[in-house]
Amino acid sequence: MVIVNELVKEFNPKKKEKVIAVKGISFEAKEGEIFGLIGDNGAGKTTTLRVLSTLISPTSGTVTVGGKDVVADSTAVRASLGFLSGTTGLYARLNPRDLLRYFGGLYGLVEPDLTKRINYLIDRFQIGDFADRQCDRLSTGQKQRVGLARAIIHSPKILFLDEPTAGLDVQASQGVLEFIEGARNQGHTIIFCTHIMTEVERLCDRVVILHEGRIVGSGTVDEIKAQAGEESMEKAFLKIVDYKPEAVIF
Amino acid sequence: MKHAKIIFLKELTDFLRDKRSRNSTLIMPMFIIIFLIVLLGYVQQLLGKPTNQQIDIVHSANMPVAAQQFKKILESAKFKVEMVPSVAAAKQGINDQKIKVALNFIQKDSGSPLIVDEYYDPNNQAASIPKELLDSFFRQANMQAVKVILKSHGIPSELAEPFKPVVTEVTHGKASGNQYLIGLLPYLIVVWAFYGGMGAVGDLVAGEKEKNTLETLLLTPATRTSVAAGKLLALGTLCLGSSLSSLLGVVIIGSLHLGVTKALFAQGIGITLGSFLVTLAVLLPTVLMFASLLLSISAISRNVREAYSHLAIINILVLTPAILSQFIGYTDFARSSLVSLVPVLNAANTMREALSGTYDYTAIFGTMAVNGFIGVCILIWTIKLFNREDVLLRV
Repeated sequence: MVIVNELVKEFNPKKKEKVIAVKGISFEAKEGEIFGLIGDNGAGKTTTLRVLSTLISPTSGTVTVGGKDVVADSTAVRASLGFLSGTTGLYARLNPRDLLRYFGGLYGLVEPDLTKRINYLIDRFQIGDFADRQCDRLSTGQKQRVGLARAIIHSPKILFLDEPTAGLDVQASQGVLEFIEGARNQGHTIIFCTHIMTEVERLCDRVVILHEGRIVGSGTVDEIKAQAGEESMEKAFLKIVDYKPEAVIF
Repeated sequence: MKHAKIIFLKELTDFLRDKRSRNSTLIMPMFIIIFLIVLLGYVQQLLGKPTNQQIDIVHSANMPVAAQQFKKILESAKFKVEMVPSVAAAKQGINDQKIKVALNFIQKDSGSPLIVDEYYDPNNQAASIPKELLDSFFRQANMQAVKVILKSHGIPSELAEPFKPVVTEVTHGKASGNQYLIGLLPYLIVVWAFYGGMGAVGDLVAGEKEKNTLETLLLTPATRTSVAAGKLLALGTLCLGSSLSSLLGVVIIGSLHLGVTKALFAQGIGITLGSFLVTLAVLLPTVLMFASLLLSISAISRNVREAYSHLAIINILVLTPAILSQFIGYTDFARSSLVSLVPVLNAANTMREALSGTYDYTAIFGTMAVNGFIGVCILIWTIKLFNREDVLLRV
């Protein structure tokens, strides 16, 4: 469903301050699985996800999403995927209903299907109480529910989720995680980026660990723990990325 | 184009829902021009009437009787006359800017002519108006006196004015508006076409980068060109809306027939169908130029703050030729074909000429072509910016 082959991404390639964010990674996320993309800050997770979602183009290598090339067929790729990150904002002066209508229109939904879909999502994510309230007046949890509804307005088969629980309280996070599990159960392919290892253990079918732009570990959660010889995913991750404790000054 | 239309409608809705933006873009231009016209009318009224001008007369012990009579004549001419005890006190009053013009009447003996010493501060702008009115009054009084003397000697009084020019106005067009308005309107129309879009610049791209909403838009099937086109249309609509709002302000205040603006609209509102069409014709490419420029600034900026720092510089580039348009009518350069090559100035000048009743089609099409060409060039550059990941995705 998502195939990444020898992906390289350089920023400022013609300048002195050239940065190679992704250094030839390859992986494959299959249909109906949650594929974890984990790593520390600067590991290349967000850059990879941006290439996968056609926001930026690869320097070299190939990426196909749902069988379509992200460079040659970028519009079709974008039409087939849903994207949500923890930092994604909403248009402050639009209300959730308008926002869903706007994105539904951009994804090619037309009446009466558009209104039906909006009403379904408002009901599904319990947005009804605040569906006509401006987005800048919503709580963080409410905004994330609207964000989720926006991400799947066009019923995408593939979801890219970049730290979707960032900044959420326990209850709101729980809602997002249940949504992800539900999406997998319905056969969606999910690429899931996170720092939170408990989420990885709970959700991910398979995982790649990125460190400084390279894949340093891959497999199921149990396989990774076994490779590292650790009982928890957090300790396994730290061992694989060769974490060295730094002096902490109080 | 379908995506561009959706984005255009969303941007417009989003913008118009913000009371502050709505007021500054669509309501303020109308109220500002109404306020300016009322102010202009008020000042014109104020300056033209002797009633509002105070003249001080030195009231010394040897003040001639003729001065007393002259005081009455000035008062009958509606001047406000005050007495000041001495020349020294008059000079002090002028220095303190409490007195604008002071007159001291001196007559050595009853047969000698009346000498009038006039005191005023040439650096005090407020004094120049009563002085001008007073000088005009003296010219007329002298003329009347000469006529009376000539008549008493049996000489035709007309000879008091041996050179009397007969003025015939030869107009090159049918201006139906006041010259003050004709000078002011094009400047405001052009300036508002720029300022109208300024309120939206921050939000359009830079604000979306800052609030992390741009990525969600770029992840939809809409192409970057559609995104740019939708945002450009919204911005252009606001620019045009602001300009037309100021024009509407003129129509409203002109239609109210207020006493204070009566003199300004004595010849009508000043906007004929022809001048309106020319204004619109040169305004549209100018709006394209401004909207493309503003959108490109929003695209290259990382956040709203950076966008407005860039705008501060662009502001000067736009304002300078716009201000020049206020004065160009006094020079022969206004009729030079080179004016058409100077963006902003060309639009204001063509509008001014049209409002004056002159339709110079070379200048009109030249202005449209130059501004349209610049607008298209900036637009192409802006679309290229939208397709550059290092521009659109940097924060």
